[in-house]
Amino acid sequence: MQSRDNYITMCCKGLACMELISLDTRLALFYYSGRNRLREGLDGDSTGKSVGLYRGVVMEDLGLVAGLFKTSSILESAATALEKLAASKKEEISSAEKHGLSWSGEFLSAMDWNAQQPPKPVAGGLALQATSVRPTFYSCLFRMAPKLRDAGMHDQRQLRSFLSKLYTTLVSSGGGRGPKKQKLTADQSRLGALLLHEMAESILVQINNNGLPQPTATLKDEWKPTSNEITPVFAGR
Amino acid sequence: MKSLPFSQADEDAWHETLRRRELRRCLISLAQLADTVQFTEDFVIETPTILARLIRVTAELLARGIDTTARNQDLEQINTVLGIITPHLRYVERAQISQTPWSIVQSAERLLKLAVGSESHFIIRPSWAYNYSVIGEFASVYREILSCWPWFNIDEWKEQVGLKNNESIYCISFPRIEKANCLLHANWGHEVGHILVARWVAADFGTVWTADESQMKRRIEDQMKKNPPSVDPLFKDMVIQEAVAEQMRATMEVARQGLIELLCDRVGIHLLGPAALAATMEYAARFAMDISPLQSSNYPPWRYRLRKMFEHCEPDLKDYTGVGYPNIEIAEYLEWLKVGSRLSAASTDLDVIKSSIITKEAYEFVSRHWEKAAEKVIAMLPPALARPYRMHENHDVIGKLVLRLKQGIPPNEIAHLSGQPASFQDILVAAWAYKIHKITKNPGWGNSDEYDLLFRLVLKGCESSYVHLTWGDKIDGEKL
Repeated sequence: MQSRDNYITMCCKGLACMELISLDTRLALFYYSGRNRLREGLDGDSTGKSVGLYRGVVMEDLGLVAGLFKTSSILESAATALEKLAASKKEEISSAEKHGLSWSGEFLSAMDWNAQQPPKPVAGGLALQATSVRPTFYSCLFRMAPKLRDAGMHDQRQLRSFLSKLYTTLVSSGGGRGPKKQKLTADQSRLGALLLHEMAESILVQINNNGLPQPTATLKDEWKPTSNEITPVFAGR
Repeated sequence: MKSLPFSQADEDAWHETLRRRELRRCLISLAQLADTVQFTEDFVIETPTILARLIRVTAELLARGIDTTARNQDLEQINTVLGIITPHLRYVERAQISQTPWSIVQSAERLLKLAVGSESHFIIRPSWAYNYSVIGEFASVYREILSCWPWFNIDEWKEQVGLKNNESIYCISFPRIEKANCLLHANWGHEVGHILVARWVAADFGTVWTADESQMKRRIEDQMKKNPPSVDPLFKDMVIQEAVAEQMRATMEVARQGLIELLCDRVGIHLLGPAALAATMEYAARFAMDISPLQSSNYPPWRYRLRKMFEHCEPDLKDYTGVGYPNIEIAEYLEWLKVGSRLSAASTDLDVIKSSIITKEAYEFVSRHWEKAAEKVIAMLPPALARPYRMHENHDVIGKLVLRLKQGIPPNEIAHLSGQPASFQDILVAAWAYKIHKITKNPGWGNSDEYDLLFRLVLKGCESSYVHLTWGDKIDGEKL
């Protein structure tokens, strides 16, 4: 207790001193307002992405942001390529988009626990990314339920069959030579592209919050489904 | 008036026109701001101007791309990148000389570079949030993001930025109201630990996680199936899988963050010994000791962290009477640390951890991998820092520095004839020993003048030590 009192007293005194200093600072800012435009409003740390001693700031690190951005970008590029496939414009698919297709196929296979696992083991980095993005994958599928039903899927077997064909098409960069029943129809390709686009968009929104202010770390934690033993994700269903 | 909705193509075209125009304007404005900050502010070290250049070049080339080669589908992504990089300019702006404890910045940067490599550059700046933190690495993240677009000329960007591939930029923040409180800045050791630990996470965490994941998933799934939700037949199993996936992700995040923070604490205490421990104790004393990681952004409970730090400091908490340890100048400090170690004797934090399957699984994972991970992270330090800093091995020097503080002299040279500068670590430990000595003698010690004098002496000691170490030999050889 003594240590805590001592420490807080010292900080409060420091703060009081700074209040005095800030009068001078404000005058200086007024004088140099043209040069110092940045000082206005750019000082808060509540949206800073950093890791630190404690949770005063949002606990994301830049590397994670870059990784998510890259994942979103590749999924978006694969969605574009799949749309070209649906429109019978396979020859317009670039080599970068082909890479995006096969990477997305491996990524989705690693994410979907029902997918037939690829013959080679999933690398550590991809497995971590898959663990991070897996809930997004399921929630995107749930959001697409009406469209999946419109496409004739009414039970899990049909859904799994569609997803399995989607992964096969993606892994083969859209050029699989397998049996016809393993190939996606044009409508299914569009549906697959929509799933990829939904995922890319959801991941991007995790980074930019769609232009809205980020909730404070504490409030966000309170709403995390895992912050206590209830899981609100089921509440609306 | 009721208007007709756009066709999809018209809406896309409308968005494209507006996005291109506004993004171009914002990017040009950002480039100009970066330019202004880069060339008109004064900084203790060069790093802030390097980050400003990185931002300026990135904004300029993106603005040019918007005009020429950027695809319509990438505009939303460019907007996200603009949102990511714009706030980075505040790190540059806040690193001006007047905003930082400038006399400690150079000696701190020297230690940080020694720990993680001379190709790493540091910005040290205050933040209004009461927190120590590190952000980065900027250069590689920018490179990774910009490489996502085939139309972006990454080679030209590299050339204009002028950084080598292995050069990196980090920003370390400290609480603004603690600017002069260099004793608390011993927390920088923890922050620099983040850089080393990030390397370990990138190389090893995925592998150790993947090895344990299926067992953890089975246990979480078993618990979930005891109370299955009612669901749509289309997603019968998938709803359970989604719930398990959520909990697995939470478990991984708790385990990852827990390991990271504990490893950073280990690096901090390895580098700065009991100064890092004292700084963490004072910081933690302001908060609750046993908050679940699920309520605190996945951070370990303070009690858990302190326990690990005390374990590492155990050799310093013993008496070595044969060599006169503890000497009188540090005896009260040592006693204060020993009393503090009783915090870690309680197990209330462990009860909190065991109360949820997520934290229980995560911390069992942490325990399984702790020793090996700590060993690997410490092995990344250069030979000069391979041995942990121990107070009992330096108690003579520290005692002399404490005496200097008592006499109102900056704690640098051990004796005026020795010609040897004191180390950054010894100065900080001596400062803590002096502070605890004063508080023990008089619990009311600590008015602003008294703290101000202590902080100024220690800052001056750090600066003198830096000057002494850098130019001492040259000055010594010249006739003045």
